[in-house]
Amino acid sequence: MQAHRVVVTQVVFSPDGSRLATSGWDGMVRLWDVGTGRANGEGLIGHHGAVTGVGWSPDGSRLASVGWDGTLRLWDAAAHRALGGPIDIHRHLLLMVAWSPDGRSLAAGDSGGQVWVWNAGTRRAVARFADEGPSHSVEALAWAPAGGQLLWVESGTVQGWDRTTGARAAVAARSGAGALARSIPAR
Amino acid sequence: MGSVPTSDSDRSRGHASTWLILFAVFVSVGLAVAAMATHPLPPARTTSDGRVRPLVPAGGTLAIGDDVGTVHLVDAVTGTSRGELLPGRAGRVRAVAFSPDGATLASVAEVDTTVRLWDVVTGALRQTLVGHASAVVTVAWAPTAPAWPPATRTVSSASGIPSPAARSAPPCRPIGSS
Repeated sequence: MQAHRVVVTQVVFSPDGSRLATSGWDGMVRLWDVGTGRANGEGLIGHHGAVTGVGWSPDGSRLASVGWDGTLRLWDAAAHRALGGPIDIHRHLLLMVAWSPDGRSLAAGDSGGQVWVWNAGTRRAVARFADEGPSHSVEALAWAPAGGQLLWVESGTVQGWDRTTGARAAVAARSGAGALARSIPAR
Repeated sequence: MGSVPTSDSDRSRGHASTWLILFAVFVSVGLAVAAMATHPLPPARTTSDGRVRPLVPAGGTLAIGDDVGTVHLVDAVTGTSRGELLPGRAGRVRAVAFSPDGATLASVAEVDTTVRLWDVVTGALRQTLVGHASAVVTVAWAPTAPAWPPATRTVSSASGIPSPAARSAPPCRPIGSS
């Protein structure tokens, strides 16, 4: 695959596995056909500076991307065009984005240690989480595969938020934590 | 999916991690930042203590990579340890990803050109994927990745201690030509 020619920051499969979306320091989101390994259309251009994260909507119709320009952007994955303008512009760099499994919410983490959640339909921010005291970049972010629970890593601890109850919790204190994944529930 | 063109029938059998796609990167340039007002929202409720508490009633396992290269497997409900994946020499864990069946974990360390595949049940290193010329930064599983042959345990007649049986899974290989 011909790549971004600079750092590729993230790679994500479409929900049906037929396409890949990649984000890169070249400021673009690119789509790829998994079967052929070839680019699927032109790169999606809009971010100013590096694109740090990209995610598919669960139905595979849309993409969300975030970048160093502090914006969240939505894209039509079939038409290869932006869906409206940038959503919010932040003081900090946005570093990663994750679409909730039900498609209703988008979450992103920033370089100031804050986690943001938007309603994917209305495009409005609905929650923001920030620790008091010195903050570090959000290191990782993930929605639980089922349900509306968001997990992230900041300052070496795994933190969580339940979208339904609004409860927030420290899930696991783990000095030096920096990467995160969650499995499907064990049977 | 399930329709990836392959040059031989062998490939079409599709081993789990042949569908693992990863990208290599190298370091370059600068930084662009927009400075605008932060969206005014009240901070969310926070816990008064830092204690581990149930957050994910559905269960499951969290994989948490740390800055000395260890991946900790943690029960998502209780926060108790389910084991550690020890890569030996490795830098800070940069990315982790569970396979769709939850049985295999892919991990990437900083400044490392390899991807490690772990058996989540036994903690054993299944395979180290090599091939990238520069550091790997991220890793993703195809949602259609077939399950790795399930871990089977046999009881040793000598010790009575269950031990993982040898796996018949073929090693994963790159898809297509590079």
